[in-house]
Amino acid sequence: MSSDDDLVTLVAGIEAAAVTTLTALFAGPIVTAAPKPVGPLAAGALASHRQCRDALNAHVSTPVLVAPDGIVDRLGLQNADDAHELADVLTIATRVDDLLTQTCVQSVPQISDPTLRALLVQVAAAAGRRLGVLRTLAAMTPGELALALGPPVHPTVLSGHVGSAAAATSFVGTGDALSPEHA
Amino acid sequence: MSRPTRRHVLLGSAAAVMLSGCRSKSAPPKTSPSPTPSPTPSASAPDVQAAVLGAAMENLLVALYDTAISAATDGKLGVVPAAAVGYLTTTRAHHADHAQAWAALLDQNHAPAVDGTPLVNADALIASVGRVKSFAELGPVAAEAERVATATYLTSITAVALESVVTTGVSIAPVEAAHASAIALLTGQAPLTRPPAGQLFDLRGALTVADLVAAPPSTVP
Repeated sequence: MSSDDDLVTLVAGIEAAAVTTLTALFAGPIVTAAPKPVGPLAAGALASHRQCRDALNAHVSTPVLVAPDGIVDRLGLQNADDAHELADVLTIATRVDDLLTQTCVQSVPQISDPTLRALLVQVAAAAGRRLGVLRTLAAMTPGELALALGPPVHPTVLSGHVGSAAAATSFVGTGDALSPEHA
Repeated sequence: MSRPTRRHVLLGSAAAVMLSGCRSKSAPPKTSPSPTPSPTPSASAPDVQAAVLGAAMENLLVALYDTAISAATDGKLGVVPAAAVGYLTTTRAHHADHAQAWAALLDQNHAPAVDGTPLVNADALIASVGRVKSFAELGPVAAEAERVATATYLTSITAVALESVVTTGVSIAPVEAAHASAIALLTGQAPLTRPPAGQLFDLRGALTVADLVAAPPSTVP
């Protein structure tokens, strides 16, 4: 059975992988050339990942600043440089947060320390908040992105599925969750 | 110590029956009658409080979206964008699923069901939804309700022992957070503002047992 430290270190590793990969992607030409509001949203998501990584690292025996290869591979980040358009970037960022929430949902019931449990559920919620934005953006066509994202936002140009995209399901599952052996 | 209120009595009774039918993940295997007294209701109160709060809150969120959908259908929100219809119907369905999950959990553990929206601020919230004149005006109200729901789960499940309660709460909380950021984005608010210092998610306003009103007479054990 995994220890609390194993589980929190695993999630810290995912956040470290997210920070490394998304720092490069969000500073690249795809995001800088995207419709204006995308840049600040990407910056907000990255700041959130950094904050989560740092908070997790403050509670583990060995802080994780460089993600282990097992986590990078499992998140599918080894080919992040191949992203060609905004949809690719959003797919990568969404996958990271999707697997992050699943890993937290799988790990939290195994955590015995209330402080660490509180930390991990907040990490899950922070990831959920980012997912709401990422999935909504990903549901927009390039035309909708350009027209709808003001500010102010003009939802009249957005199709119905954009409004329903924020959460894929009613509950976060654990089918793709990472385990400490990936770290 | 103050005299127990009816609410506390109800929660205590519910806690007793819940624990009688369900064992904590961390509890030792029960191979023989315990020589020590059974857990007291107060020891298990956080499990019941989390489940009851979850059920009441999800019922309220369903009521919020029902009110919004009725307003949209009746033309009170003006021209309703397709994205608004998508958001309202999907999110309402999610909350109905969440309410059903809490109801099933309470039922499995022979605890009283939570009928309606027994939260002290329920009427005020629904009234505020009734006053909005557009989808854009609905955005801040719904986003804040979703944020508070998330904060409530983050706070309540930290203290619980039953694995079923923990798992249900933690699998719902990120979905509520996603609702909050999506409606914020769709209505022109900043969806990823930095949380207060020392927090990874804004926990202000999380509901507690003090926000529950007394249960209706039909649920008295």
